Formats: sequence, structure tokens, C-alpha cells
Amino acid sequence: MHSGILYSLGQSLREILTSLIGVPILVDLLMTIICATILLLIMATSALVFTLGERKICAFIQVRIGPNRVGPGGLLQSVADMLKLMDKEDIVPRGIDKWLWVLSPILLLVPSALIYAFFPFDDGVILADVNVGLFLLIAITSQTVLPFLMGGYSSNSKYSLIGGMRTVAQMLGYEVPMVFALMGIVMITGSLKMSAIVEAQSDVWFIVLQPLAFLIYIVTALVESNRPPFNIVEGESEIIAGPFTEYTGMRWALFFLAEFSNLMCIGILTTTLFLGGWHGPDFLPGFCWFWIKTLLCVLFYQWVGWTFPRARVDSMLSFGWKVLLPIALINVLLTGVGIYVYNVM
Amino acid sequence: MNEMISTLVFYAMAMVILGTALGVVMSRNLVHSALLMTACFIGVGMLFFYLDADFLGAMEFMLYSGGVAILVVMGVMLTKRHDGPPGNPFNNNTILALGGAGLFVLVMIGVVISTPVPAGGYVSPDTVNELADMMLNRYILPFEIAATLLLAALVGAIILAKGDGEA
Repeated sequence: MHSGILYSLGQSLREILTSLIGVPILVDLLMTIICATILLLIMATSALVFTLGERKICAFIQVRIGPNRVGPGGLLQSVADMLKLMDKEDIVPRGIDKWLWVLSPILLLVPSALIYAFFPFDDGVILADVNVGLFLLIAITSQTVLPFLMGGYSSNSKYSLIGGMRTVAQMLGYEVPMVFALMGIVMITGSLKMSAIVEAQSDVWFIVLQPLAFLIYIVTALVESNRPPFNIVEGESEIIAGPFTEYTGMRWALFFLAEFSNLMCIGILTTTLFLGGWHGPDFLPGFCWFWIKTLLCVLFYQWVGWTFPRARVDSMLSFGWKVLLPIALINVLLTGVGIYVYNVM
Repeated sequence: MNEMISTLVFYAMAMVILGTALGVVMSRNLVHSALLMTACFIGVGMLFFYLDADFLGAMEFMLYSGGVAILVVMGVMLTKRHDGPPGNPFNNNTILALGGAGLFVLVMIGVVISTPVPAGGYVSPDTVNELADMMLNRYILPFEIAATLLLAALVGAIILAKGDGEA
């Protein structure tokens, strides 16, 4: 049986709804809608919070002051940014492929939002605990490649097209080592189910058992979510803003919403796969531990971006194929040998 | 009620699949065709999920949609831009195509009718383990042969791309 505050809250909400409505399928539907709304709200809020971090903490680390005019200490800067973005003129360039151009930022948000259904936030608190959880999660995240390519192709601009091509090279190239790195976890757990993976870490976190996979995952996660120092897709100094060069206002903001949502996703995934998920000492409820770890991971990922200069595209790709992939394969081999030895002993 | 909803969901998915599949053939733009094909694959993946075949559905997302991304890139990079009509030009072989498609439909109808559908529709809750068991124990030889074939294709592609001397 599951324990934890979030789970019992959900159960009591379901009981209240059942006594009010009575039809089980409608209750299920309503519960799903409520959960999805909460997840979308979390996603939208995270973008606000992370932009603030991107400005204030980044400024602190780089020994600058950062925004300090809007609100106390510049705290309301993200709100001002949001208002500014909504107010901007919506420019639709001539010569674009209209449909693809309009659809690209919207479709980019779909996979980013969809994967929140597979995250275990607390004991038993997971929207879709499917059997192939981790695999499905990777499959859905890999769908973010196409909207980038669509945006790059349809903008009818050289910078955008190069950015779109880079997305494909980078994301597909680094997906392979990432999958092989995560294979070690699946081998130890013996299941692809997200809740089972967290359950398997109740004693020892996978960062201890899979240090190599953890290191590979950190690099590949930064690449997959297109964060600096691996954001060669945007590469402002080379190709302006890559696929979203030609977008303005809210359309551009959608790209950024997706980027911050992906940032939180890799934070959550690092927490869930390597740092024990919602497990932690008993004095705080599980979901608190989950968010503490997630936010620390996000801070870490942002910190890496603020510290290192952007990687070059060719060195990055050869690093992925020639260094990370062999290490990931060796990790799979070592894990297999380790499991065999453990079983024999 | 449950029955009705699942029927509705099925027809919605079928419409998406058929609509996008038609779009793939009818579109005059090569890139549009490729992207619509992705949408079609995603629809097919949904169909697998609908039938409780989670693993196959995820596979469809990962391999087919991901593969199409590469296909588009190749399409854009390797096709030359010329002054003629862009993308997929249509030709006059409509009657031949109609005959071929008709024959295919006939064969498919025959297959559908002659395949026995097991009643009850039991799906094992743990498809991944069973699939792995089958692939790595019972069908290990075909599995390895396919792997070797793919490896040969990979090496061949590299040699084709880099030239004999360099590779």
C-alpha cells in the first residue's frame, strides 16, 4: 500500500468526487484533468522561476549584479519579461512555409508536457505508471527533434536551417549513449517501470551503483535538453538563434517554455534515476525530497551552463560518438558482469 | 459507456492515420510528405497503445518517428534544388498504380479474413520480458543474423560516404 501525503490527498479527492458524481469513468476523467492541470501549472511556473535563476543566480556566479530595478532586488523581472513578450508584435516573415512555421513551437511543447505523466513525484503519485515507462519516456523525448527541424526548415532562412540540421545531428547522436547508459539502471532494476526504478533505490541510490552511467547521463542530458555549454543548436555567436531566429513574441516564448520544461525534466530524471527519487529521511514527506533534489539538479545543470564556454559542433559530435558511446557500452558490460558476480556470491 | 468511448477513440485514431497517410501521398512537397508520415507513425503507435501493446507503441515512436527525422534531413540535403516543380511531381501512371493498390487491398482482405482472431484478447501484462525471452532464447539465430546484416549495412554506408581509400 502506498503512503505519503500526496497519495492520501489524491485518494480523498477521488472519494469526494465519487460521492458527488458517482459515475466511475467521469471521476477518472475529472481526476486526470485535475492532475494534468496541476502538472501544466508546475511547468509554466518553473519557466518563471528558472528565468529568474538564469538572471539573478547567474549574475551572482559571474560576479555581476543582474536585473535589480523591477520589484525588490529585481525579483519581479520574470513577470515583466512575460508581459513584454505578450506585448510584442507578432511578425510573420514572408517566404515561410506557413503551416509548419506556425505548428513548430506548438508541437515542441507537446512532448515536453507529455513526459510529466511518467514521473513518480511521490510514493504512488504518478499519472501513468506503464510497464515500459522509461523506454516510452525516452521515445517521447526523442520527438522534440522534429519540431526543431520543422521550425528550421520552414523559416526559410540559412541560420534556421543550419540550426535545425544541428538539432538532428546532436540529439540523435547523443541519444544513443544516453540509452545505453540508462540500460545499466534497467539491468539492475529488472524493469522499465518508473515506480520500480525508484523502489529499487530505497537502500542504495543508483549514483553509487552506476557512477559511470551517471556521468554519461549528465553530459547527454545537457545535450538532449539543448542547454549550454552544448546549445550549439542556438549558438547565438554563430547562427543567431538557430531554429527560432525568425520567431517573435509569444511564438518565441513557446520555444523557451519548452526549453525550461525540458530543463526541469532532466532535473527530475536525474533525481528519479540516480538520486533515489522521493526517497529520503523521514522528517520530510517524499514529495519535498523529490522537489529539493530536482531543484538542486536544475541549479547544477544551469551552473554548468554558466561556467563553461560553448562546445564546438564538430568536437561535440565526435565526443559523443567516439568517447561517450564506447564508455556507455563498457558500462553495460561491467554492469552485466557485476550482476552475474553478485548473483553467484 | 466504456465500450462506446473506446470505439470512438478507435475511429478517431483511424481517421488520423488514414488522413495523414493520404496526405503523405497527395502532398506535393517532399518535406510535408515526410512530416505527415511521422504523424501517421505516431497514430499507428497510439493504436498499439490502444491494443495494450505498450512496447510496440513506444518502439513505433522511437524508431519510426526518429527515423523520419533523418529521412527529412537526407531529403533536404541530398536533393538538388532545380527550377522545375518542387518535391514530388505526379506522373501519368494512375491506372497502373490503381491496379497495384487494388491487388494489395485484395491480398490484405484475404489475409485479414483467413487469420484466426483469438477470442478473449488476452494480453500479457509484461510484454517486455516475454519479448526479450523470445528474442534472446528461442529466436536467437534470426535475431543475430538481422544484427549482422544491419552491421554490414552500417559499414557499407560508411564506406559509401567516405570513399574506399579513407575508410
